[in-house]
Amino acid sequence: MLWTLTSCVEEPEVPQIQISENGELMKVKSWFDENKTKLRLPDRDINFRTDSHELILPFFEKEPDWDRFHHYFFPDGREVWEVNLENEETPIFGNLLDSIKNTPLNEVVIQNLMFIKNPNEERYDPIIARYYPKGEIDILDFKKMNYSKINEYWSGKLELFTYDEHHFIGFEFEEGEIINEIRYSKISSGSKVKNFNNADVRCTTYVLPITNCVTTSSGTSCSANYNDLVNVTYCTTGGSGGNYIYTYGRNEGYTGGTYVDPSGSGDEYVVPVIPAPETFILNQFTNPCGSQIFKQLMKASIIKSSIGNLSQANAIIQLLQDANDVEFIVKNSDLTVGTAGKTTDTKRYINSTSDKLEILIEFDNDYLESATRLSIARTMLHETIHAFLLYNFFKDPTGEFKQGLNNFANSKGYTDLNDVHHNFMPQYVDAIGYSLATWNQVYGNSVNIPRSYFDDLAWGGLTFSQHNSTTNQYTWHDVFQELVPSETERIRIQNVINNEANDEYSAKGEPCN
Amino acid sequence: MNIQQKANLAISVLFGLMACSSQKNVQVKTDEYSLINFLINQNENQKVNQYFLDWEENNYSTYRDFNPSEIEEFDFLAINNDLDLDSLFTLDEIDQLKNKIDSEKPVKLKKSGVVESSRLLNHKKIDFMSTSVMGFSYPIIQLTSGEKYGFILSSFSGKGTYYSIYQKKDSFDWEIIHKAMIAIE
Repeated sequence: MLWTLTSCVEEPEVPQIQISENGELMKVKSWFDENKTKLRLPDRDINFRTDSHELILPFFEKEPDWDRFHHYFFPDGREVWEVNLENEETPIFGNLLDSIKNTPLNEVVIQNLMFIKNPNEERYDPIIARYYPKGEIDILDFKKMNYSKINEYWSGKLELFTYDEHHFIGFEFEEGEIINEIRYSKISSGSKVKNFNNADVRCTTYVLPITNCVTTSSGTSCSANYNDLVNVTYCTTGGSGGNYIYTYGRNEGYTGGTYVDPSGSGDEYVVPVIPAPETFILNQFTNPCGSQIFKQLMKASIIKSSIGNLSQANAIIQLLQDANDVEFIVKNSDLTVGTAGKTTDTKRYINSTSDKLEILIEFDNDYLESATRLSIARTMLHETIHAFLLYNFFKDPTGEFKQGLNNFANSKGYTDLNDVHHNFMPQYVDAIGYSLATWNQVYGNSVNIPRSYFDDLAWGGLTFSQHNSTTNQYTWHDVFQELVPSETERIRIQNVINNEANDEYSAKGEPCN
Repeated sequence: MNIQQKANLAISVLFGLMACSSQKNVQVKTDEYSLINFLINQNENQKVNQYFLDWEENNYSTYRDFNPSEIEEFDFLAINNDLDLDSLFTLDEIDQLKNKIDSEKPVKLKKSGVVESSRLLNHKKIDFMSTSVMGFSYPIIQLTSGEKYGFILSSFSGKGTYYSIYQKKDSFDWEIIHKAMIAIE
């Protein structure tokens, strides 16, 4: 007889976010309101801003939006509150956003203030974190990212500044990996200056050289390329501009990648030592094929592109657009026999003010071994739509969407959420079919597959609630039965799904291995 | 070892084997298996996974996880979603329940405990999308003065996984007092 020992080893104690975190945040706010006029590094001489070799941006008053925050802990246990800035002013560096045009800056760049709690004193010294996306697909909502949680789908630059805008350090990310540390310096002859205005944004641009530091396993090596000038542009949206002067210089307190207050008096601004940003791995597949297919679906934004193929209600299109806001983790696991994939929420104690929701999508190891890549992609899209629905429940628990589903359940007499989801989701069959066809066109092995085949496959998981293997009879889902009234046709579609799920001879997709 | 000792050893081994054989033939009749059989009988067309679902792998590891009133689930059709175990049990009973939650649990259904053992599926290879399989966690049975409650996870391929609490009515019958979907397929 097999018995197992349930693990009795306690997890290492991780600081828990309590329900009182709003109260804690108010302490941060009070401290900030009281101390914000003192948050300046000590002047080293009167001409520091102009003579320094350091990159220092013009100062502007920071206006935190205290309703939008992240709460987390550095690995050494220090508590951090990362609060979004509601300022319209957005500094831009050179070519940071060259690939992104025609999008309002305050929707592109995330500007946050990280308040790092001093472990010894009742103070929360701030660091500014600015997240510059590399391309359109890297534009994220504030909630999607913070210094401790940068996911592998994000590419761009994260620039850190002291509260009074001394450039601290920058990190360049490529799909969640730090590929460069960045520091800025200027040529000794002084900066070149050019100005330009346009209708929406008033900008002043300076041309500066950039020092790139490459981090490898053997350490960090830096090189200043004086031929490789970088534009440093400061823009305000809708403002009147200002007297912006960029200078640079080595901070005397520079130690090992961080600044500290050289005066050490304790009353002034102490720029805290900070660790490198942390990546949060959403794609936790250990199965390489599953991981590859998921990346392909995400990278190609196939889910989003399918919107163009839909002519359904705006609400559904909006739902698909929300796909990029869903924070879901994907992985492979040993699921119970007969389960190809499942979706659940991993954080079951949701604090509605702090957006701690994570949705977990798991795929069965045996399924990944036995199914075709086409079937796996289909299951991923199916589970992703479950994730959209779950996300919407949490996002707006009393809203129209949830009420609409409730009404749908009542009108159909459903008492089980499974029936609600699987009879509601046929609205996405077109979108799934289109997405599969697009994915196959770009990444698939099989050409000359008619679109109708992908539409058949898109029904996977939506066709039946139960199958009697003795009598080979299906208990079909209501909507599948309504939309495909012919039993022969339903069986044909089901066979297509089964063939791909089990890599049968007549499957058109190819297996992972 | 003399002949007498050898004979005694042979007899004891023989009785031991007979005892094991006898145990195999005795049907396991516990409240845990009563609840499992009750649920199997309600879903007559499905195969039954012989391996139990793991409570912890499904995020059920503390008393708080088991108390519906403390959990915000996504299932808006849940039965009695606000059921508060604190109002159902005394502090002593809650402590007992916590101990049961922390206790070791079997990983595999005893064939002798399942009335329709022919439906048991003890291998993993099946045809995906065309075999309906149900699975359970090992039930946790909690006693109060005169009442018995069963906590169980149940999964159904093609549907999802549910957390349920049942109250025992008689030898064969259980009444559901809470049910919520925790994962969807």
